[in-house]
Amino acid sequence: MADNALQKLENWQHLSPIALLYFSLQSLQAVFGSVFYVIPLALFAYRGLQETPLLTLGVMLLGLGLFAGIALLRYYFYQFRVTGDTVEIQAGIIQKTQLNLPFERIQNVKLEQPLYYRFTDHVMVQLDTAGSSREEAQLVALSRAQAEALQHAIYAAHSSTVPTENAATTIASDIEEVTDTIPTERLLNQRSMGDLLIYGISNNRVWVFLAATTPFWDNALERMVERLETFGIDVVHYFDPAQQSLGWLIVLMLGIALLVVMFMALLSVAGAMLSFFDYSLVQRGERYIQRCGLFTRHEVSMKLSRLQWMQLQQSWLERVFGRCNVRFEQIQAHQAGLADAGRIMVPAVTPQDAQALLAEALPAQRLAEVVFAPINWRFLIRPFLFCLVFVGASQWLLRPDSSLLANVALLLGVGAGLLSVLRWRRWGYALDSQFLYIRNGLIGVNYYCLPIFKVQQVSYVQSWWLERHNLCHVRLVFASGVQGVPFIPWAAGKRIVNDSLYQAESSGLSWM
Amino acid sequence: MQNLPFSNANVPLADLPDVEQFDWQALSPRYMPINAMLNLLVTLVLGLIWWVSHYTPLAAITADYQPLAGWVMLGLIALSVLYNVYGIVADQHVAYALREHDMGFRWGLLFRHTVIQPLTRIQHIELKRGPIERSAGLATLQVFSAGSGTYTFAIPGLPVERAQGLRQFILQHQDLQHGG
Repeated sequence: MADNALQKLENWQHLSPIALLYFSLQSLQAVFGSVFYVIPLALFAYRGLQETPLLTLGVMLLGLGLFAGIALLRYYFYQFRVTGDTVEIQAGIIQKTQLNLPFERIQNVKLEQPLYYRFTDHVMVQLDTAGSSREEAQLVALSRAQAEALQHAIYAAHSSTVPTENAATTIASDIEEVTDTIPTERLLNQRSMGDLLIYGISNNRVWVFLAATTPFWDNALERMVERLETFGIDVVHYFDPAQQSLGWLIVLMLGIALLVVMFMALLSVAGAMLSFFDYSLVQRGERYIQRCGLFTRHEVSMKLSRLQWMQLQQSWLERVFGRCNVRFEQIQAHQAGLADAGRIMVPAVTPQDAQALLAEALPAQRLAEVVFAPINWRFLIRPFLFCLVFVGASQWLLRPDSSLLANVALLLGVGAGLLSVLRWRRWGYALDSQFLYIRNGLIGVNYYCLPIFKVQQVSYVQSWWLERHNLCHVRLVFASGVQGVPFIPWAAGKRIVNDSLYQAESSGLSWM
Repeated sequence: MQNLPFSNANVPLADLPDVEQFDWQALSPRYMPINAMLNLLVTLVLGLIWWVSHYTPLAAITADYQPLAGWVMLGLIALSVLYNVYGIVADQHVAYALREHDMGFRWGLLFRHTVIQPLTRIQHIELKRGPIERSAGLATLQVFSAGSGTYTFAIPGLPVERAQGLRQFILQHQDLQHGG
């Protein structure tokens, strides 16, 4: 049945007509996605409708017609076919592009379902290659059956080429499973609304949102004050220290802070729902597949052998709830904007579930039993020196003019010093025959399980001072990024370096 | 000896490769003077800018900021001179090494960095030769591995024949690894 679906794609053909909707929305978004275009256009339309309604309506219709026309042309010139083991795409109205993608060059096949595709059950197929981002391709609209058949065909082509590339004996049974038929899916994890609520409240993305919008607060506050004054409420009056008691001011401030925090938590929960709604992680053959999203459904898949390391992540609020996030890191995405695109993360799982996921993906790891060794206290010298210089300089410069600012600086310096102590206490590492475990964090905590045979590059740093105290810093580069531990005994550092090199060089196992 | 936080060791220690057994090789003796000259050139250019902005009619441009601009320039020149001295000493500590399964590179005077690149993990190799390197018969060997990005492994100041030999060795090693 899967073959039938693919055979239909062998001749040059157009996309399903629903792609028209995608093309129109895409060009509309390109123009109206930016406030700088929308505001003058809206003003123009408003003025125009009041003064010369007919002409303005005509212009607006013409504009929409233009968009529809462009979408129609783009649809008409977009053709694709799948022959044997290549995907070919021709596209472009004026500047034509032709793309030939052999199956084995395609690293990953992502299925995405925007909201408006859901009624007809079409999906958008994103084909990722290991090379430059320019070579990445989209099949804008395929029926789900066709898309899944294509996905299986590409993955099957992969599995059959792997053994010829690597002499190492890979997991042969899994490969057969893929090539024979479409294997059945096994559910690994699912997230409920309650879990996402916890994730939304405890993840800290909201602070990023706050920082990004700071410039607009001033204006918004002024507007609000003006509006309230027209209702006869004098806001400034409530905050005037000359007219109000200190207790009242504190209560007012606390109340407002609480309101803001609640509002932000709500926003954050909404964000969590948006990206992780109806979350499921399944295993199909040798792949992990994550599906989630409220409006646009995203599907991210990862071959288990591509897993570079696993991370358990727990922010300070998640510590309160007793939850953590489990991250599966694979090869780093090339574009910074898509940093999250290739990642699989299971949000807000209980420790037991996290353990189960870890044991499933990396059966040999012993994160739960391992004893972390602390790093040397000399880690603290540098941050303490910085704090000391900062406090000293700030007191010397600020104290004569403003004792308030000087006190704030003092508080900041002492706070930073305390935080570096927390950071130092969190650092920990352990090594067994196959894994390096790292623990770090500030108030929250991260645990990393690093299979050392996948290491790409190893490095360490010493100085005469470190050497005198028998210390070193160690850094391991993986395909998914860099991990390291500072201020560890030289004997331990040497052991990490030597063991990783030995595993990488002697195991003959591929990191992919 | 401090207590080691390790468990589960089932690799015989005698068989382990040891980073302390690298046979470190110095870079080409032609590399150091070139590097020192380039550093000196930067200092000279900074000095020239300082001289122009002080003793020629162009000084009028910076007249408004004068005492400060002069001190900043002098500070930069002083730093640059210090860096020259540091560079000459530090360059003597740059070294590389090649073993059967990996290659090493180390540099730094105050902080001694050592990087080791397993040959099995190498994705591709480049020989880079700028005009100055070409005139001195030198080459830079760049080795790329997955995810290295900013951590690209590079050995500068190799004689061309040596660089080509290294590349050949690595390529052959890779062929063996992939059973080709």
